[in-house]
Amino acid sequence: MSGDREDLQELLVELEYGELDATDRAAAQARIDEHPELVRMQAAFRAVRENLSAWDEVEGQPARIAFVTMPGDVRPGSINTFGWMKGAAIAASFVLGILLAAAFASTNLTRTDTGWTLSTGLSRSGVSAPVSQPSATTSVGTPPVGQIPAGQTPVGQTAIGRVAGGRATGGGVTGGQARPFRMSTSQFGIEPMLVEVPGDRELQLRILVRQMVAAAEQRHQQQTDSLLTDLYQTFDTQRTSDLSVVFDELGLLRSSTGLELQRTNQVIDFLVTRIGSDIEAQVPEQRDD
Amino acid sequence: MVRASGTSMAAAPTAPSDEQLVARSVGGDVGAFNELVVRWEGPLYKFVYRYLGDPEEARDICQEAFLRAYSNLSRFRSEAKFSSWLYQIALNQCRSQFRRKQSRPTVALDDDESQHQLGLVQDSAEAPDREAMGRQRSKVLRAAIAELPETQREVIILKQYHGLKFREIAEVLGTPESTVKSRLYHGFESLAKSLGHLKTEGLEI
Repeated sequence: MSGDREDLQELLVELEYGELDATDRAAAQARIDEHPELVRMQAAFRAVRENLSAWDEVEGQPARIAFVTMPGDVRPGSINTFGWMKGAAIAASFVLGILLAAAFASTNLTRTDTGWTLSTGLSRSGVSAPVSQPSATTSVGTPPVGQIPAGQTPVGQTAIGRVAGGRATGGGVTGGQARPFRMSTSQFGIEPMLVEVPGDRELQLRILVRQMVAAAEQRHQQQTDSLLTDLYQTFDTQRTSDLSVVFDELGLLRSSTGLELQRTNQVIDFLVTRIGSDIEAQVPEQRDD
Repeated sequence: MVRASGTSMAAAPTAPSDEQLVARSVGGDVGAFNELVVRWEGPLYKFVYRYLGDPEEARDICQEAFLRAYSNLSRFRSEAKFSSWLYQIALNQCRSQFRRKQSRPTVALDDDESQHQLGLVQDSAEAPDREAMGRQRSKVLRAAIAELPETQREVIILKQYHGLKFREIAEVLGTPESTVKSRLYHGFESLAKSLGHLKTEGLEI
């Protein structure tokens, strides 16, 4: 019997757990009945199994869970746990870039009695730096937002505008125009959320609340998109206006300098002519002497 | 042993099969997967609880198992049973958790009162009621099963308490059926010794 002991053990467990058909079951039982050792094994097996059935108590209950979809959910199988982190990092750097760009776009170059002063959006509270010697009084700066002509087309996109637009996931620049920057859950690979639901009624409530929150987030996202688009346009317009004013001012400076030089030359010529004629007038008198 | 409740639900004539629900879930129907969750969360929780013996861990692992199942649903091979696949995911997590616990041994107050406390109960003047005795039996059995080698414990839990066929257990464990049967038998042998030892100490089991 020891030779096929493992076979007998397998047969015994199959028999005890009812995984033999009727014919095999009868044959197996008959074979067991022939050997007292097998009968003893079967009895021991049944005793242990009976004892095991006493452990029917399971402490606690499973947490009622359910998957709740979010707008822009993707199908199962492509979860990207850290996708949202990458998206958040891109969004954060994008917003930071916009803030810096807005600060520097508000640069004012002012020419006063005390000299040239340069003030940026970062030092708008009053700190300014003299940059050159005093001269006439002319103001060169960015017009207030309200004074920018509506519908003014930017001459060209700024460097920051291009970078920010170009890095927008899926959005960015198309045909030289910035589109609203969009962030949706699907772009970050966010899967439906797994939430605990203690009861069916509470599940429905939670799903409802979740949908309301998702709708609110979507509205907020749209508002953010709109604001960012406005910011792009304002930034480009301001910068273009600044550049044109600076160029105009430089042209004025150049022309005024030329006029002053011309006048000075005329004065010098006049003086030279006058002195020359005076000298010529004095020479005959000296001859007479 | 009664088959897991999930199977009985699956056998209902109007209810869609697990495989149908899986197909719908892969197609993007989250509600279909929620049906699978409702169907299998109970059996899976019991399995994990019996494996680890901690309700909190069992809840966490169940949730994690469903999350993993959902995120890897497209990899599920339709020739296998969904329940077997789910048990396989949970089992892998149970193994990892069990090894983590073993590498960081802690003194669980509940475990302290296993075999030795049984003697105290027997010595007390007041006889324990039936419910208390039932709890003590469960504790002793839990301790005895926890002492088994991992391979035997897995087979016994899946067979005895979850009624899986040997073929299904083999599928979950990735081993031949004969190995499953052998492990079950040897696990029973070990249990016969440990439970017999307790019996000599007065436990009527």
